[in-house]
Amino acid sequence: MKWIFIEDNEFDRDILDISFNEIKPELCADFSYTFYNNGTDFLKGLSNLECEIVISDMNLPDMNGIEILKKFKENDRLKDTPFLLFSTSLHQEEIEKAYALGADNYILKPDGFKATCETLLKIYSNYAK
Amino acid sequence: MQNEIASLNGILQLKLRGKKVEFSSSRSIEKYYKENNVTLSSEKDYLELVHPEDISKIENLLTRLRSNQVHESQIEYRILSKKMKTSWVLAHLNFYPSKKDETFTIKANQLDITFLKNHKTQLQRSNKELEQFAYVISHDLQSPIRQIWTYSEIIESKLDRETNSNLLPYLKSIQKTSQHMKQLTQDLLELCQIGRSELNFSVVNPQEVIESAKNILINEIKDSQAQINIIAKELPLKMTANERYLTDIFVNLFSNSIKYKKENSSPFIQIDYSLENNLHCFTIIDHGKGIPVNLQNKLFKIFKRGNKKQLGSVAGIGIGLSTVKKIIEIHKGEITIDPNFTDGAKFQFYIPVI
Amino acid sequence: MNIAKKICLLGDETVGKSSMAKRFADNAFDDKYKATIGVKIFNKNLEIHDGKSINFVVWDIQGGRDLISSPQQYYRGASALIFVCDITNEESLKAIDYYLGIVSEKYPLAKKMLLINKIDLVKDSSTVLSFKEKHAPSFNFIFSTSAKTGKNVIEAFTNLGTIL
Repeated sequence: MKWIFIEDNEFDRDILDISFNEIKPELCADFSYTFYNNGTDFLKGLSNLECEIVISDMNLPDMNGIEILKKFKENDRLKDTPFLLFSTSLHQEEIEKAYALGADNYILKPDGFKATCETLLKIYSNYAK
Repeated sequence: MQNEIASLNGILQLKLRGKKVEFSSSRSIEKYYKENNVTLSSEKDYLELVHPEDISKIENLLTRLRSNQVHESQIEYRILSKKMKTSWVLAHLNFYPSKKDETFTIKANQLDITFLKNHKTQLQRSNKELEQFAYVISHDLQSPIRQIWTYSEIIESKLDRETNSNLLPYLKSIQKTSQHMKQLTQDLLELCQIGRSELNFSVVNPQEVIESAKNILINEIKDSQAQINIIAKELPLKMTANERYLTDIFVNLFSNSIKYKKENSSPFIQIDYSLENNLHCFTIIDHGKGIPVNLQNKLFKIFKRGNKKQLGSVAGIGIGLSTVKKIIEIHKGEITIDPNFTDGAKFQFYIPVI
Repeated sequence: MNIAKKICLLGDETVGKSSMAKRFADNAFDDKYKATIGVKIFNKNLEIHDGKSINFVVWDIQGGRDLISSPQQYYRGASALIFVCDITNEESLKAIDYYLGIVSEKYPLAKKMLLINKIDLVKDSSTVLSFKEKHAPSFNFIFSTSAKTGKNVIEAFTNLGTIL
């Protein structure tokens, strides 16, 4: 199973790495993940993208998560692939817009190590086949 | 006259005997006027250099002094020199009626406060910069604080609990302290944000707001057996305000009244209301220790709490009342403490009706 | 006249929060359980009585008593809180006191409604009655509901609407 994270914050990426390492025993053998630092790089490789799930931060340096979501779901090949958003805040308009564009989940970014491990496990148990 | 320096510092005097007016002034002021081509020998001459916008202010005050409405007053106004240089003057006026005859004297001590005024503007500007600075700092601090907490969480999870059990309390301390830092920066951020973002106003019922403030303090109220009663005959059913911030005002004021209660007695708090000049006026009275008069002007400043001797030992971060003041100012209102109320503390705040 | 009101659902996992929201907003029910992750918003306009219409903005969040599941931002600005429990799951009933504890202090202005869900699975109503009686003072309304059959769902929201 391959996951993609679009996350520009170095610290948050570090925590994801450490958390994945921690929950590794509970994940399938062929589990892997990749990071993108910004939306542009991710969207550039869209036509060749192979993955089971995309999790994007709402606040990226070059665009916001909703724009990426929109382009992702416009792609015929990828539109059924789960696309999740991580956000540091919960604004009604943003949440409604995200779901209207086809987001699968809108998640408050987990705070801390334990919370990150739990959230990743939750996502995994929901989307792993 | 040669040794006198021309300045706006000095004394003026008006002696009125019936219709006759005797005007005198210090040499320094005379000289200043002379350098501006005005011979200072009467009230009228004096007003020649007063800034046109401030003349009515002075005349108004003189009228009030003459008609016995006040005996003493202070006034600030501008003097405009012939070269269009603006000076700010603070005049302290005293009114002395004569016991014997119909004469009365108005004596004015005036002081050139131009430098003070300039400093005040500079200070206001610095204050604004400081506020923005505080906002930026408290915002930027959030990320590193999160990191400290998260990494200590990770260390904790990786420690072999048996062999490193002596290290666990230290980690717990790190986590506790970083949570505390998180709270402090959030409080500071909130204080800075009041006024930065758009306020959401809605229609609220003040009675409900007061009830919810009491609910928030339910433990403090129970523990101190505080009584909080609305003595107003009628509270409006609706008013326009930011619900959460209005609740914060009452929570802060009630909380202070409970904290500064008289020893060995329960806090007794009363809320009154009146509608005046299109303003919602709330009065909160408590019968506690009260606030010493010399501390009252510092009351709404951040972190000022008065020393232990004056107020007894009371715990708490001093952001409360300055937050209250800020919230009220955002509603375009004002809050004051009544200096003449000595049986406790009497706060009054008003919010314009929208 | 149409007013928008934010309503937050709270309760343990699997009690039926998402199903309740879906039944209310879309009048639909899915037998398959899918755990909610993060937050979802459901919208529905309901006419309460003559002239008064409310746009219910129902916030649904993952269930659970840990801190991830009860962030302050979730509740901010809520006019009402709907507590959901599963009559067949005793732990979820006990959890109601826990959730009351979290919200009462911080959001005292919000109206509170308790929904005792999955009532379609219950034959004996005595436990329901005693549970209702026990919690009556803490809530503005209590209803036994079934997101599956739809029982009392619209009634519950309509009643809530009358006090918003």
